[in-house]
Amino acid sequence: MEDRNILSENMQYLATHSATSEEAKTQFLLFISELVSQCFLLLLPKNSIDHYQLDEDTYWALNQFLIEQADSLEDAKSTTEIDWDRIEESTHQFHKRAVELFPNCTEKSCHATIDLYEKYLLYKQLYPDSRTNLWEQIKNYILRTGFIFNLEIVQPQTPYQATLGLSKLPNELLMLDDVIAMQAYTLQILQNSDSPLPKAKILSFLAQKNNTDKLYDINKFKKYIIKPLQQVGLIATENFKGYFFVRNANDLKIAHQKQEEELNLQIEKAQKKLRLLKLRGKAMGVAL
Amino acid sequence: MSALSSLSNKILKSNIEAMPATSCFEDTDIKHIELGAGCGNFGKQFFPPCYLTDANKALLEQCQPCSLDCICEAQNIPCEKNRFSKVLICNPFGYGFYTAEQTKQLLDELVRVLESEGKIIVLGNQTNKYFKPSKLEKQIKSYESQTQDTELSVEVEDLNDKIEQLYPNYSFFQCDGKTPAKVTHQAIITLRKTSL
Repeated sequence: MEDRNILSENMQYLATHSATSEEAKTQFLLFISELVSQCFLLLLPKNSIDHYQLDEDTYWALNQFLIEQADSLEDAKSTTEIDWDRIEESTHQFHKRAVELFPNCTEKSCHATIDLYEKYLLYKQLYPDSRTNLWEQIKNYILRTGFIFNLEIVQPQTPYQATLGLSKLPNELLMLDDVIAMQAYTLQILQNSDSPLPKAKILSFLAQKNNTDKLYDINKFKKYIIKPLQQVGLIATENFKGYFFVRNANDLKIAHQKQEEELNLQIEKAQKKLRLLKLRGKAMGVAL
Repeated sequence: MSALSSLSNKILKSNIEAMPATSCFEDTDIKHIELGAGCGNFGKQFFPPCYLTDANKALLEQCQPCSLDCICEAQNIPCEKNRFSKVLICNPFGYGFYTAEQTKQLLDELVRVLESEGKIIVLGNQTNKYFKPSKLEKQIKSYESQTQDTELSVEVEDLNDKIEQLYPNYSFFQCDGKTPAKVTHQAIITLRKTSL
C-alpha cells in the first residue's frame, strides 16, 4: 500500500514535473536492455537468438521468461507459492490510482504498466530479500513520475526502431529503439568472429542489418547494447582490440578480471567517501 | 523455408481461410482439442488423436512445419456442443484465467464444446497470470456458482519434479513461440453436465 501513496502524491507533482518523455524513454530502454541481456544469458547457447525483435509477443515472452528463470538469477530455489489474491489486490489499487490520474488509462492501454508492476510484485513474492529485482527500478520510476507506459504497434518501422511505442498518457507516443534486435545482432557478429571487433565494425554491421547507411548513436550503443551484455558476462573487451564473445574459460577469466577491477574501483571510491565522512565527523566531534 | 513447405503452408492457409468454420473438425473420431497450440504439437504428441488450434493466423507461415488444424479463438470454437472429451491448454497467453470476465468467457465456451465428464487440462507456470494455479479452484467455484446445470471439479498438481516423467522431452514455449517456458503446474478440471 506504500506504493499507492507515492502514486497519489504524484497528482500534484505531475502538473509541474520536469521529467520529459525522453527521460522516460531512457528509463524504459535501460530496463529493456537489462531484461534482454539477462534473458540472452539464460537462452544461450541452447537457443538461437538471431531472430529476436522488439515486437509485442517478444516483449511479453522475455518478461515472463525471466520471472520463470528467477531461480537461476538468484542462484536459489524459491519455494513460495504465489499469492495471486495479494498481487491482484495491489495491482487493482495501482490501476485505480492510475485511472484517477489519467481517466483514459484503460485496462488495455495501461496493460504494460500494470504488467511491470505485477512482475515486480511476483518477483518480490518469490525472492522477498532480493536486491536485484529487475522490475523495481522501472516500477519506482513509474511511481515517482507518474509515467504510464503504453505499448502499441506503430507502423512503419524505421531503422533501429521497433514497432512498439511508448507514451505518457493521454496522447504522447514515442518510438522505441529496437535494443532486442541490436543486442542479438551484436552477439551474432561477435560469436562469428575469431578475434575482438572494434565498435565501428559492430556499428557498421548493425547498420547493414537495418538496411541503412546511418550508424547508430555511439553513446546509446554503449549504454543499451554493450554495457548490459558486458554486465552479464556475454561479451568482454580487451583494451584497444575491441569486443569479443565470451566462449571459453580464458575469455571468461578476462571478462571476470575486468568486472573485478571495476568492482574494486567502486569499493575504493566508496571507502574513500567513508574516510572523508569520518573526517568530517571528527571535525564535528562525532565518532563514526 | 523450402519451396515445398511454403507451398503446402499456402495451401493449408487457403484451405483454412476458405473452410466453413464447422468443417475444421470433421473427423468425429478425434475427441481432443488443444487451444493456443502455437508452433507446438503437444496435443498430438501426448493426447492423440488431437486437433491443434490457435487464434494467430500468422503462425501458419511462421511455424515450420505447421501442425495447426484450425484457426480459431479459444472463446469461439467453430463446432457443435458436446463435441470434445478433452481440451488442452498449454501455457495460455492473452486468454485464460486472468480476470473473472476472461475466465467466464473461456469456461462458457469450454462447457459448451465439452461432453459431460469431459476434462480441461491446463499446464503452465505458477507465475503465468493467465493460469494462476493457486487461485484456480476459487475461480472455478466462483464460475460454477453462476451456472445452473454444470458442476466442475479441479485438481491442481505441482509438477516441478514430474514434468519430465509426464511429458518427456517436450519443449514448452512462451507466446512468441521461440522463448522457452517452464511448466510448474498442471490443473485438471472435470466437467459434469447435470442436464443435457
